[in-house]
Amino acid sequence: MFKKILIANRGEIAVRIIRACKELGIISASVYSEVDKYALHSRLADESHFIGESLPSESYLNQNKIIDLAKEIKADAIHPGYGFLSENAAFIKKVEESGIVFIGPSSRSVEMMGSKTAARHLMKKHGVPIVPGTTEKIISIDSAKKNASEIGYPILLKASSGGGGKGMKRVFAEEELEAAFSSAQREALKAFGDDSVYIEKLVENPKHIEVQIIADKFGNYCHLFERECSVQRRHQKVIEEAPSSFVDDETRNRITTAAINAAKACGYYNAGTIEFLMDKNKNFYFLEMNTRLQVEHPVTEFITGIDLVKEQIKIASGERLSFKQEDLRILGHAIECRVYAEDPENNFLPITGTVEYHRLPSGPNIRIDRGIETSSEVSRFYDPLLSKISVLEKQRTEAIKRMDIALNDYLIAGIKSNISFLKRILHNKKFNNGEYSINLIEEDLLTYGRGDESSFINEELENVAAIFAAYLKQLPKNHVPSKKVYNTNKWADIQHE
Amino acid sequence: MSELFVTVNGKEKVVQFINSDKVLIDGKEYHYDMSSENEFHYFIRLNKKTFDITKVVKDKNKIAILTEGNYFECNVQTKLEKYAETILAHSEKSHHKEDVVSPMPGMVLKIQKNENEEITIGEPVLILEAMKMENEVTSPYSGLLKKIYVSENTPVEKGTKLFRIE
Repeated sequence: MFKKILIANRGEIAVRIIRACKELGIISASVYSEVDKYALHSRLADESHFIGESLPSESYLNQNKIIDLAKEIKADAIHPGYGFLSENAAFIKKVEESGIVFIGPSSRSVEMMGSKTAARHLMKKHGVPIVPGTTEKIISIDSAKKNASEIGYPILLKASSGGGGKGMKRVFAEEELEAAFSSAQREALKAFGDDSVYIEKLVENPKHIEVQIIADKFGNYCHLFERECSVQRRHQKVIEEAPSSFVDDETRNRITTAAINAAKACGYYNAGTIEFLMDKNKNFYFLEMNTRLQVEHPVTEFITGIDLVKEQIKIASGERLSFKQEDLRILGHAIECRVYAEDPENNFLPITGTVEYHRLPSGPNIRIDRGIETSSEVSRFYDPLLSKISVLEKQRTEAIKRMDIALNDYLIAGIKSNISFLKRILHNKKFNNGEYSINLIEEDLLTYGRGDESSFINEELENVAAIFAAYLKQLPKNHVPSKKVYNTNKWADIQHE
Repeated sequence: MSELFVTVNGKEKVVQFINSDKVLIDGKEYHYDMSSENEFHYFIRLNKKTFDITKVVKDKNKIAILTEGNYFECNVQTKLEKYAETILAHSEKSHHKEDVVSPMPGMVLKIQKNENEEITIGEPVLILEAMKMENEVTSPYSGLLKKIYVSENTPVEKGTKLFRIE
């Protein structure tokens, strides 16, 4: 087993990996940028090392600095988390060549799946269904027009090296194509350093279903069932759950088999996720493979009881999978909500600032993954994800209820978050009866006053808000509130006697 | 004590504190009590129930709070402030002359309109790139695009003036 792991990431995922290292008795070494010197991940690790200025390119994306540091501190392995360098084949190759173990798949597998066009090619060859479209990148607007009309509108422009909705544009008619094409290219170039774009047929009103797989270096493959991540905004996931209420046993068999075939096609080992779109007739199409740990891995951990991060580390160190497919069962229904520092009432613009106060929900089967606490800075340099709340219950309806209560308990001051937006989704009728697609947010939740709130906002809450606002207005300037909560503490009385 | 005019997510309520445990809301009497852990975390008792409240942000009369998973945007005015606002609104004949500022730090990627162009509410004026995503900045009013303060490919901070609508 490894003695020391360098964690090349920040925020909640770095914290998650540090915990797994501690549980396995491995020294955790975190890296931090200028603004992250006292961030939670810097403080929780056994060691933390300065890696560069706050811009990601100077710090968490600086490949050579990270590898040199790993050598210097004698780390046996690097865990990349998600985002940043996690799916960068060139980086993984450099790590492999340096003699340090990369906790994830081989650079070869990542390269095979990294280009979406190449991956589509590979999947087609191995009998994994793909969305109709081009398997080559589109170079000119003329060829884009030609391909689009052959495939038939509506179409989707996608970045070959893409992910997270960047460089992705929907086009419904030819006159929109030119502007969308250049915008997609620009976004792709900025986000991934590669402006290759290709075209797919837009699958109308699909669900996003993905399968978690894991494999060791001995050719043992297991799937850990599916997750449904249809609640998305601009292709960024907001709420994820496992299992999907839409997937029946027969479909589950088919889609998990396809996922394992996809993983085998690129000689995959470690944890990975194969994303699919599923239409209303339960036909599914390969979307992409994420060759890393996913943000939403906690829901899978909840329903299977498997610790994916510890399993990743063990596999990387050369151990065999600690379980077999037949050992796995779905133990309940799990939901995760991503709490972002953003303003849903103002086009979801990211919000920066200081977390002045932070109280987390708690209770049976409520899990929090977070990289922040009171006094943390949310800067403009990184992703605005504050924390993830996951819950487990026996049935989906009960899980939704548990999540709703957990969100009520969440308090955060200093910056606005999407908490009430998450609550509106949980109270949405379509979300509750499962009849929704990846367009749920766009179609149902961007306009207010359709009654979603009426089920949880009442006059009493509004009165409380009014009293509080009026009270703050009347406070003299520079007023420091007095602490009078504990004035009936009998222990204090006893001490004074 | 005098009346305070509070809008809660757009709904107006009149709040009047009678003494330290009685308050009138729209003329109806409530028992209340208040305490706090710190400057950001308060407890309000209203009749039999206690609510945890956080002050999210406060900017002059505007206060954003979070309680029970709900954000409330509140605006509080004294009688005098409300009166002054009414008079001001009349004197300006509700004609909008406003600078639109950048809602976030980012980069002006593309300007889609020209100065002195008539634009309607909700029409995109420019594309702002932030967090590697392109965001359209739209006009909050219909009117004349009097001035564009920024040029393409220039970084802007939160609050930087982008354009002026008259």
